[in-house]
Amino acid sequence: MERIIAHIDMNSYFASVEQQANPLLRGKALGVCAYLHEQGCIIAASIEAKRQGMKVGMTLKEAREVVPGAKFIQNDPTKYRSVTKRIFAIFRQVTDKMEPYSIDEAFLDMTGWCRDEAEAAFLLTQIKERIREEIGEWLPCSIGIASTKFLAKVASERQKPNGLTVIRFHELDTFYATLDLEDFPGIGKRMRRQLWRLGIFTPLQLRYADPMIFLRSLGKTGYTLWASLNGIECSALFTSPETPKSIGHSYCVPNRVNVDGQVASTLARLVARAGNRLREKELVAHAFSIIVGVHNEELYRHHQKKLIPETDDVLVLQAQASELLVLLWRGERVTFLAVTLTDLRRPSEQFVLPMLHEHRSASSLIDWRDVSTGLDRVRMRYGEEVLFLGREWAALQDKQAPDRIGFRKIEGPGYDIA
Amino acid sequence: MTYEQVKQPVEVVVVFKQRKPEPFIIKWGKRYIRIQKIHLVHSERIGRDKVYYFSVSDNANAYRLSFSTETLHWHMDEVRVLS
Repeated sequence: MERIIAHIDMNSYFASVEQQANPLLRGKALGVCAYLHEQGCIIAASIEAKRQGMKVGMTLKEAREVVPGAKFIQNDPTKYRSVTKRIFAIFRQVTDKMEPYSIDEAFLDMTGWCRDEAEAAFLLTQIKERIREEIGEWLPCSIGIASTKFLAKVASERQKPNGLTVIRFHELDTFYATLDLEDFPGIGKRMRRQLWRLGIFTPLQLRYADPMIFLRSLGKTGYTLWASLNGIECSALFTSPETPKSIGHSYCVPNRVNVDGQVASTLARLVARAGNRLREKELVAHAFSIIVGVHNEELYRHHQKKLIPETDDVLVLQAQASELLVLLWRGERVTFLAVTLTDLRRPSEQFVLPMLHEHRSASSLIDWRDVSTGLDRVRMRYGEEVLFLGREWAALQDKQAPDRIGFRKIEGPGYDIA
Repeated sequence: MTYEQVKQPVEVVVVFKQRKPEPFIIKWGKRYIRIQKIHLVHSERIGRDKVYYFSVSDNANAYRLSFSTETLHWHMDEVRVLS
């Protein structure tokens, strides 16, 4: 039996949620910014703003030049996570196999729940109606239905905003004839140039080319692309939570942080945020890195360190971060800071001998873990920012390194958005 | 459009429609505001407390109300006024 996969993509999501919450913003060009600062990045543009040329990734200054009358607001991650949670709850009532792909898109495997694509389309139209009735009328979404995840995603991109596109296997050629190579996920400017070198200029040429050519010249990526275009499923639907590969936080540092001498404090805040997420997921990190961007330097400075023993303790992580910062930074103007915890695993129950630890005795290590656990308990009861370490104070007072919204793939349905 | 963050306690008359609470009238100082439409409801966990935010409007202005399930207090968080 042919599979029925649907991809639902919320259109201009953050901007639409803001327009839903505030009717005075509806029908107007609106940019949602990472920070309300001239160099702050546009992370979502309303449909009206997109029509006038505003693009995601522009700085606020550029966006204002392109759309002079546009309104700009700072993003509100809590609001978007909460609305996503309600939308995904509706999706879960249609099928038991739902993969949250990012904060504003999801894959639904409707095989077995619908007889054919027409019935799936009918059910998904009802979903649209439920979103309109139960959450809000200003939240458009595009739906794509096909036999694989890849094709469903291509289909949902076809009609924006508020479209519904079905791709049937026997109609692939007709559909591809209307598309450009860059309309497919995974083909950007660089991949397009590589395909040109192989004599591939259209999606149809790609579909009917010899797969061995791709395997030889582009490796696994090339073959996966060929297979995906031929309707062969290359990735399963991830319906159970996966262990994330890394957890990190980054921040474009405003000059005020440098002037006020809050660089170390801001880094401590980023480490605390990453550490909190690590403990929420009950993982420990075996490696740790920080990235420092310095004014007028093209490349970021980067340093990675192995954590021995592995840890989730915010005190240890902050101490390590301070050591790495000393190695990377000599008091220049910092423009970017990032912290990444990698090599994440479930904690081992094995006792760590004190001789393996660099700085502290086993007894003092246990004491510090207790402090961290105590901090977490207080935070769980009264909120994340009710208790913090002294080194975070300056950054917290000045609201530096705030909560951010991620664009990347999220970690399965275990993703708790509340 | 002007935007103001107020964060002031308010009194609210709530009705239950289809088992869901909906703010109906707000008493803000000496003003009574009759809510015409609820645009969005979202929630946030702050430790043990769960706060519900109601983005609402009357005929002229838009408001954001918050309700703490821990303290059972209502607050007027934001007001947006057409200028």
